[in-house]
Amino acid sequence: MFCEKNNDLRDLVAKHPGLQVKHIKNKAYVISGVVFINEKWLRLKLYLPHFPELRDFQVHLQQQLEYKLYNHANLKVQSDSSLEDLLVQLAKMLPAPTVVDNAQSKQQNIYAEILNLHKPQEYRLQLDDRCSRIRFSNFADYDAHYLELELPSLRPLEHSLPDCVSLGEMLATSARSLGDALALYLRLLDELRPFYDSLADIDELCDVLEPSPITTKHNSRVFPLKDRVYLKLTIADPFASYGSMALQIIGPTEEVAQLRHVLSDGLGSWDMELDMHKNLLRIFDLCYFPMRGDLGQMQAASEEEQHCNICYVYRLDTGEVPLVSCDNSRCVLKCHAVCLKEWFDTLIDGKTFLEVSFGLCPFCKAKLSTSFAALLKT
Amino acid sequence: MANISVVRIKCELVKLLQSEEARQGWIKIELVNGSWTELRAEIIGPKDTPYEGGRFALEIKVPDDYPFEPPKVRFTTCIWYPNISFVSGMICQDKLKFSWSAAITLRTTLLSLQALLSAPEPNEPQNIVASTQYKEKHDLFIVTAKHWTAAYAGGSFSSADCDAKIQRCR
Repeated sequence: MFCEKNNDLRDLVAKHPGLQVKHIKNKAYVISGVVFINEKWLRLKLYLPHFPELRDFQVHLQQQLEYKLYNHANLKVQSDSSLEDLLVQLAKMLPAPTVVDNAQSKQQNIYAEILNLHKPQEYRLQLDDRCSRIRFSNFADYDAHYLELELPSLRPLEHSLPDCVSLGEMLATSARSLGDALALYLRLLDELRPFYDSLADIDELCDVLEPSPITTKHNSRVFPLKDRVYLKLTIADPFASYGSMALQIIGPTEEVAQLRHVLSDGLGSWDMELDMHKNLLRIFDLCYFPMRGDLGQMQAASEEEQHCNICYVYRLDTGEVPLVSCDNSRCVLKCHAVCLKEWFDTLIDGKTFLEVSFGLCPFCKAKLSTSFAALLKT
Repeated sequence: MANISVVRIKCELVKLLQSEEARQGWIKIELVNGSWTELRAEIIGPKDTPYEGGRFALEIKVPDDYPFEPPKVRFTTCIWYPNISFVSGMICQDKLKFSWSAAITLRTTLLSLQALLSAPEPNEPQNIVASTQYKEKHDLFIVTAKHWTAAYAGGSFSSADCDAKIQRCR
């Protein structure tokens, strides 16, 4: 009996060299490894407690990346079936092998293209371990920029352009290869140079309070215009910086009203020869925009002293700082627009007009300007 | 507990413990079981009131959405006062609820409760007997309030008349 059994196993191993047989006790055997049956590779671990009978068998079969358990409950096997029959039946459980067509093999050539794109002088190229993501960064002229694509689909996973730039759509319509995708990205960077240059002047010469930290993805800036008054500059379309520029004045009601008149008059005489920063200085008749320490209330004030009077934090995780103050110049209130909005939303008599919550100062009950709604993230 | 409320309570406690009132011993505050949602506080009775010399303990429960919602405060020391229930220690609702603002702190809450003891409002009673007494037999109200302060809050007032009445009740 044992002899016959061993012969069966010897034949099995001879036919399928990828299998290993391990005798546990009495009639119990474990057969594990890889077999090739019906044009399919099977990776399995088979437990036979009553060999050569298949009674009470258990088999772990790898399907994609996980092992699935089969036994009498979910795999019907005849009582007189042989081990070979069982293996054939298991092969049927697996999907048919995929045939690589020409289009797909053509797409696989993307990996050959990567070698041609390796230009360390111009940019840094990185691949992940599975060659499923490629990242271009440290571009010679655009150090802070990066582009990360999925391979081989060329779908953008991460990039440094502003969120309002629909890079995914652009790549889908005009990038046939990895080289095309990179060329398109570099062309976009060239087209966005005026946008980045304009904001670079603001970042360097103004005390930008939001966003923080400033990245290449941000298309707006908030900076002080005077004590308790701020300017929010937003460029809606980075490819047309001046045409899509929006300026919002944020601060106490009266001062905002006066400065809005100044701004609307000044925008009429915008000088296209001058950069954005110089034009803004001209409009507001300033030599420079106030920096930290220039404003009385900012003098030697640590972040802790400037904290929001509602949440007691200076800078939120979103980068927002407390800029809201009320119309009473003697009131010490300073808080985040989001904190104030949440406070108004909890009030029974809190009002909402055109989706802007507004109400009275939680300290002194003076009026709060609706201009602060511009600070709320839309 | 929402992160904003924990951060704020921590900051408030640090400032409160450094405040002049805390240094002088007029107000005290501490955590209960190390939880930021439950606090125990103590205020002293204001001068020139029947509560002078008494130390009144308070239980403060901080809601998850603090400071957008007010803390729930009740006196755990018995007090004879028109706007505070002598059974539950609850304070007349609109005192905190309707005058609440996100800019009010635990320190200002405790100070306003201290100030409240100086200015009862008998028309919004939590203790109807005390309220009626305050309006109709004011002298008796003063004596009763002083006696309660001595009996429950460690005040120094003593009245043979009050003691005799209590003995008769027993």
